[in-house]
Amino acid sequence: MTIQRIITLLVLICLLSPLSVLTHAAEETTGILVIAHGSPKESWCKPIRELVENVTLPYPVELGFLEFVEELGDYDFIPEAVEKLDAMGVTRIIGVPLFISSSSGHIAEIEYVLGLRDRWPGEEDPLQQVDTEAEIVLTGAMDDHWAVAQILADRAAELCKNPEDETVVIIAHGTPNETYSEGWINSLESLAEQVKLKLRHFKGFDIEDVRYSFIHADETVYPDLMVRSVVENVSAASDPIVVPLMVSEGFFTRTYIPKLLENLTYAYDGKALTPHSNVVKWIELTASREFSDLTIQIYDEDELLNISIEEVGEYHGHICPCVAVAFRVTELAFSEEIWGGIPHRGDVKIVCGHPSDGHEETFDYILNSPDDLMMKKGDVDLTKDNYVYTFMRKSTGDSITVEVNETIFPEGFFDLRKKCKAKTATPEEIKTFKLAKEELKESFMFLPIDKVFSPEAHAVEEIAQEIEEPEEEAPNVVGGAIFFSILVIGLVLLLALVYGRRKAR
Amino acid sequence: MAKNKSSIYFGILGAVTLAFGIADLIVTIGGDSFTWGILEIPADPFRGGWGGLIVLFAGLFYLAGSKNLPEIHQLSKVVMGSVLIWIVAGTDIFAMITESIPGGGEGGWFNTLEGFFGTYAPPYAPAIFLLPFSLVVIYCVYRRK
Repeated sequence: MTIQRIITLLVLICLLSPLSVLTHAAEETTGILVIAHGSPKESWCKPIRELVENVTLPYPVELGFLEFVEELGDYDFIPEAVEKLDAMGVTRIIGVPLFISSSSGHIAEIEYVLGLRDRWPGEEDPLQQVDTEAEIVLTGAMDDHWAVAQILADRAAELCKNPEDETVVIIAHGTPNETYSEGWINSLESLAEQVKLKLRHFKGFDIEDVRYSFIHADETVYPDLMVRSVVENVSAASDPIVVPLMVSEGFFTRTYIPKLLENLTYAYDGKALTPHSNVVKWIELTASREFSDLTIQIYDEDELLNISIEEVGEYHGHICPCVAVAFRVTELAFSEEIWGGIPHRGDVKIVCGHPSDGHEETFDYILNSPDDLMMKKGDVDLTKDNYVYTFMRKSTGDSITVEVNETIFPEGFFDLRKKCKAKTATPEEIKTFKLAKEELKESFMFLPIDKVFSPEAHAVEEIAQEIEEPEEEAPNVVGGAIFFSILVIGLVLLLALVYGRRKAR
Repeated sequence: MAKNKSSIYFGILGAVTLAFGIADLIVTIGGDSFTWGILEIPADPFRGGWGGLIVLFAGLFYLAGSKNLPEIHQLSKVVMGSVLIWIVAGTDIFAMITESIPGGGEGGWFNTLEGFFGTYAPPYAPAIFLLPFSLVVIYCVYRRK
């Protein structure tokens, strides 16, 4: 009787266990929580809410503030935003802190609120923690991301009048806490360098220099990095352009910075990072990096292959922008909406307008059939028009052509590329180009696919005609005929010799 | 005098054959075929590896048999060297013949005249170049009779 019960139990477990896996898989949903500091002024919070509404991700996005929004009524604190995500059935929350630096006590506070830290890091009363069963992941803050550098460069460019005699001074909040100082200094050093390169080589402003300064820092340790000191120092030889590194416009940008720089001459418009499309881009990239599963499925006869971008990168040597874009365009073409099922090797033909090893090896690795890949020739003078791809289903003749959105390329990218390939670029231009390639790679890998590509109305034949087919060498008929004649004559002579000897006998 | 001439001839042929055999093996180990004008040293294991080994031994047979050629044992070594060359060159020519007759993958059953002669076009493997020189041994055999 006991044995029968055990067997029945085992059978039930066997029958139900796949069901539990399926149920679990169906339940697994991600939610994005954008976290901002908050302010009692709606003018500070509103631009952030508006930009979060513009974030395009395949998962629900909520905005939660750390503090100071209780009087505004319409704005959520972090626990309320998490509750909203919970109500949507989210099981994994990716927290994206819209903060200038990861080296901040606020990040520790956010960790506590999200339940990622046991003890409240501050001295005042602890903030309310979230109550959720969902798994929570917290990403890094903005730090020295290129998207932030681009915003600062844009802001500075708007104020530039005579760039050769002007120096940009970035003003950041900073911290007097020695534990976090190094993080702030490293980020700002990197941002200042990026802004300088972007202004000089992307925007064509031959700016004299880019410096950085802090509102709050340990004045005894870093007297030369205090706002007034830096602007005064710059003023001695150049005209300062002051750009605040603040998330939103408020007390610091409107009141405190002008007060700190009283009686000094400088260009300043008080514009913060928001509103700017690059803040939206940064949120999308940062969140996507956490949830993206860059894998392509394709059948090799009956075997289903899962090919990851890391495998392709290993095959090529590294993941470069070309590998990234080739992989993502394949991901788009093989999507359920476009291909209508998992494709089979041998049934896919790709026409690629970009002649690079990265593209060729990526498609080659995925298709495993060089005959199914047509690559355009040439290399030096590339433009955005080279980023055009056609995927054909050989069995039906259906095809789709897509091209990369022009807006994804950093300004002046192709001119810099041309200079680098022609070996006429200066060391600073080479550095800028490397920076641009990293930006492009990240955008290709992690931006939402509809922001990377757009369908293009090129006819398939038109593209195919543009591709130079490898010229087949004409056979050397004369050489072959001579050799063949020698062979025949030799054979005849041999036969004659043998026949002659026999006759002589 | 004639005895000396034939010894010198097969001595030189043996050295050249040996050099081609070594070159064949080196190119095969290197992995990339080598083309110089109308000469091509293939790198595939069959034509470069096996073929190279045969050509190398053909060279050794020539060198071993070149001294005192009229002596039957010495002549037989030289004949053996030539036979080895004929085997390798014969397989190359046989491959050309079989390749020259049928049409291409998307063409008709039989090759075009242009395609037919094109198959016999250069470059050629070392054994093909050695083939006419190896035939001299036939004259030596008949002369001895």
